[in-house]
Amino acid sequence: MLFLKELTHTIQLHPSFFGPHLRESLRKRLFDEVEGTCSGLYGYIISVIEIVELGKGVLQTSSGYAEFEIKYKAIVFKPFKGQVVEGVVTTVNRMGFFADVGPLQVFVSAHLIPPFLRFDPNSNPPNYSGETQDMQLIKIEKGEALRIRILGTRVDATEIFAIGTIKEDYLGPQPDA
Amino acid sequence: MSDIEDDDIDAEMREDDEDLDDRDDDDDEDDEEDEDEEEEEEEEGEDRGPVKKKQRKRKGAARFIDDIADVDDDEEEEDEEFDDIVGGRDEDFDEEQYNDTRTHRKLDTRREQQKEVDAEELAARFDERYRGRNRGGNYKPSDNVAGRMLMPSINDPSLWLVRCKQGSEKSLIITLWRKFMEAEDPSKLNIMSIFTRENLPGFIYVEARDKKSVDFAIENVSGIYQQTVKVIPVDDMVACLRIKKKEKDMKEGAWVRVKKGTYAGDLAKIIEVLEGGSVLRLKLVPRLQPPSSNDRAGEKRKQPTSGVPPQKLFNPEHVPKGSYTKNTQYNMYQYQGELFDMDGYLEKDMKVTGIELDNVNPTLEEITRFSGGSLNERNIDLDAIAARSGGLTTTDFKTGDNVEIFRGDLKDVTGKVIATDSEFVTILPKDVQLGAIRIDAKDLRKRFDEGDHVKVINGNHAGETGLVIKVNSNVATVLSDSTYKPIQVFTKDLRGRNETSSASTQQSMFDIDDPVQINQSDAGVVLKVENGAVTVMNQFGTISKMPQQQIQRKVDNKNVRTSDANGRTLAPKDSVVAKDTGRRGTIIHIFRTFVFIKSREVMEHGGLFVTRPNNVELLGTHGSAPNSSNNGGFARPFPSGGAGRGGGGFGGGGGGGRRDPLISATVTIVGGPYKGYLGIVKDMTSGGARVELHTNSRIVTVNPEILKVHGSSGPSRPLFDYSNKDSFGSGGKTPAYGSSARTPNPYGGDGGRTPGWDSGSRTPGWGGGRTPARDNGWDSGSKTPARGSMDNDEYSFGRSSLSDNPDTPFNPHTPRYDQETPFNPETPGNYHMPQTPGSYPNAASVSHGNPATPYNPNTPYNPNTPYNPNTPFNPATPYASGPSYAGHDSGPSTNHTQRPDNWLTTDIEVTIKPRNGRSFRNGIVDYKRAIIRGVEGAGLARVVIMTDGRPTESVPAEFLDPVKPEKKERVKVLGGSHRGEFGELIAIDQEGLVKLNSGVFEPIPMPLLARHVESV
Repeated sequence: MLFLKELTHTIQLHPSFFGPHLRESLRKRLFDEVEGTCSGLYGYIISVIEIVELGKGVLQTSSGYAEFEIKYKAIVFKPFKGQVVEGVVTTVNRMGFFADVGPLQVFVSAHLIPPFLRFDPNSNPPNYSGETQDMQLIKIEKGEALRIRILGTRVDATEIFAIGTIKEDYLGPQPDA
Repeated sequence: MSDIEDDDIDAEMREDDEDLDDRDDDDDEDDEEDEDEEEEEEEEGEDRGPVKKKQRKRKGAARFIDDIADVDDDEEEEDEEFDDIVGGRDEDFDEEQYNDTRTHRKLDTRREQQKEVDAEELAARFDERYRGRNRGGNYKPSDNVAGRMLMPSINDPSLWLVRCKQGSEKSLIITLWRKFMEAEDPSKLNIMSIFTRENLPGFIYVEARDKKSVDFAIENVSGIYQQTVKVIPVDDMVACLRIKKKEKDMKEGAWVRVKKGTYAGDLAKIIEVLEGGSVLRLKLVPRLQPPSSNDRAGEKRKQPTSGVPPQKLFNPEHVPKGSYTKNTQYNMYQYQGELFDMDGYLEKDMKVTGIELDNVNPTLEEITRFSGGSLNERNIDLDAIAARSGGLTTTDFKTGDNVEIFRGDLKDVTGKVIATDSEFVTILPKDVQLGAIRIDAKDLRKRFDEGDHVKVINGNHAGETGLVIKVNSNVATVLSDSTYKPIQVFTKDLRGRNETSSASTQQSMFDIDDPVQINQSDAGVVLKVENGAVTVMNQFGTISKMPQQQIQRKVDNKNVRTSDANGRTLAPKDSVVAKDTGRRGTIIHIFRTFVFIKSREVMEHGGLFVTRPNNVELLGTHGSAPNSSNNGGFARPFPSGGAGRGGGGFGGGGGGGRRDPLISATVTIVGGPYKGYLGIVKDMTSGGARVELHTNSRIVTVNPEILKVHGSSGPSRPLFDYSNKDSFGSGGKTPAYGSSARTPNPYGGDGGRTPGWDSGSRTPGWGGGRTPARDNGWDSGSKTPARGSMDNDEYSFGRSSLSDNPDTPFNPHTPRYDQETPFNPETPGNYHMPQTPGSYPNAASVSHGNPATPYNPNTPYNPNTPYNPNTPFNPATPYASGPSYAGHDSGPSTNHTQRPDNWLTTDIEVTIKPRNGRSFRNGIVDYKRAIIRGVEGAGLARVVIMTDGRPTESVPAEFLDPVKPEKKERVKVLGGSHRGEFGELIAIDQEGLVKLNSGVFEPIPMPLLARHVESV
């Protein structure tokens, strides 16, 4: 889910930046250091929306760096167990397939793919294909957009990894969606 | 006489009958040795199968001792000898007696004979027997008698624990028994019983009235340590005799482990429990010597080869014909004296003593071998297998574990473990309002849900972590974090992990994906961590497993850099694509000229592969963010060692990969067929520069010599040589680029593309020639960067002690600059810039004490610098002072917009905005759109608010932001040489392409454009 969250970030600024462009460089540093990162608690920080407060720089006596604690608002993306998301398939193999949901990687194991979809290793690119009950041909291959329910997440310092399922009604590739 | 007694005697009689029959047949062989008789018996008993033989053998001894299995061989022989004698006597009578009285007579004789032989023994035997029976008898009516009545009291005999030689407990008991029997005065030995416990080797228990009797009994018996006699407290006596239920484990189909011999440690399955539980028939995966050595085995006694042969199922086709026999009756193969079933498993009888019944803990792999090698075929069995594979103990559960009761009354109740003790687990049920339940650990199993992050704590996969994909009662399929491969594990071998914990393995110094230095010459990345051993891929892609001590150290590769095929800086964690295979991945480690990349698209080795940096391309721009952030807005004197080192290395070898600074510059073609065209350099090839023309987006190849960076008045390609000459270190070296300020190190990072690229277009330096800066003396020089001044900015930062004012345009001091910058002649103009008063406070707000400096007479200004008190005050960052575009102030790209401070002009659309926390008119008109209808000087504008058509108001410029025009809208130019001109915005690239009313196309930085509103 996406949230607008007020967060803080501490930046140590080299003295060479102390000058008229100080705020500028702080902002830039903030964007560079924060956007696209992932924190275990809040998930992926997608975009900084607003800087609430740049904070007062505190000089570090030992290094001469100034430390700024910046308060900012950012859009964060945190996947939850049970959440249904839409993603794009990136890799398909015998064990299942990977899909990207924005910055999040989701793995859908072959166990969690409906049994009527079979892995076809000979096709290029490899895919899972089969026919639904109403004789619709479904094919899951690289680039396919589909709907996934997140079953579980593993949160590391720098990324979140999730496993998902499409073995439920209304999951998987969406016709005309 | 009880039934059992009858049975015994019947059996004896039957036995003797047979003996007699034998004798009838061959009288003369009376004196034959035991062995012969045994042989006979064997022949005789063949049709009854091998079991019968053993049973028969034991019968004689069974009369004397409870534990059949423990009788010594000597003892048996004695009995048989004994039988012989009896047999002999019987024969004598036999000839004279009638058949119908034979049995009676025999019984009599036997009794008589027994009396003769050892009356005492008999007495003792009966005593023993009946004592046992009585005990049992007392238990029988236990329905009526309360259990505690049977408990020993202080009036009962005490139990003494005596140390003895380990392993000979039973023979010692027999010795003591004999001693008792042979004692002259048995009453002196006031001993009730002597026993031992299997699970307490090295001790025997003596039940006696007093210690004297015990001492008397054990004295002079070798193997018993007399000093260590200890009395058992009354309370503990019951525990000594408590018999643990073994039957459960000895059930057919249970898993056991062999303790000794070739099969030591192997898992076995009980096929049958034989001889009252002392012998088990087991099913094993055979460990046969390879057939080659079997050939010789037939001829000569085989020398045992070193080591244990591997487990392999017996296959009759793999051994020489004739070396095995097929037993059709039992459907078995016989080979090398062993029996194999049709599937090739070995069936073997083993004594219970050589078998481990507890703590078997079969792994899934071992069990798999018993189910034909594949779990999937018999997935249904898994449940049963797991159930049989031994229940869990309380130690398997930790507080907080999710558990499920899988049998008993509370079946299917799920809950959380809240406490464990030695026998019971206390759980708090989740769904049911039951309150806490204490329950036997055996009835519990761990419960995991799909998606749980777990760690394997036992078995082959111990230490791995992963996400649960599927749970099938006892077996979970887990997707390994490191390999993305599914593994099957018993749920009991899993432990839940905190969701936010990393995939690290605590016990190891290393973690998966850690970059390590293996030795002086090799580096690698950790693929897998096991107990004490790590699997590492080195820079040649070779995988090796080594003890973790062998690895020199874990390296910190944060600051390691190299350059990709396009000369862009690569750092660990950057996303890249391998050019040859097209695999995308993340850089894990960089070692010399090797890049370790982890890709999800590669299945082997957890996605890790090694390649050369020139085979990879950086993806996107974000990857190098650390780099660009290092560069900030200034030329940094490389404050962090890392950047310096990385950059340095790069600079040194930069000749090949260096990006041509002309790339992405806007140029005018000054010669050839395209003369006069404006375009952007897309690429530099050996054939020339590929320029994308502004007019029709066509890409043409042009000789770089006839290109002129747009806006520069100097010779064509002025910067080219210049920047090449420069070494990376001295910040100011890319001035001609205009945006130098932003990308001081064009070779590092994105080479001028980010962020200099976007912002570059907006900095006046970029379009220096066109911007107002040029005309009105670089008025914006205060804030900028414009080419010249920026250069000095950097310098002044470098030696701020000299200047005290970082913003002072020190231009004239940089000789190099003077010589080479084409704009040089114009630079003096810089210092005549009109100032906006508004900039003052802002400058002050920059925490740098700036405001003081300009007035400092000591400031070592170059006297050449036309001193303008206003000049030095850089009005700080544009977002603080200069008007920026409405609704766009948060974008980093606009931060550097350069707009002359006197931008106010009529007939443009603006937004009224609060600035620096202050609002115009307390914010009542904030964020309203307005049109400037007049300029009143002193930074005031008369505006008409669009929405409500309010009368004109005078608004200070600082509260106004020009509205950013869209494509195809009418615009008014706010600054630069075309200031005040109108036009139409044709395209927005790095700057806006404006078709001026004069019909001329001109690229103008976006900040200098505002939406034009026709005057009423």
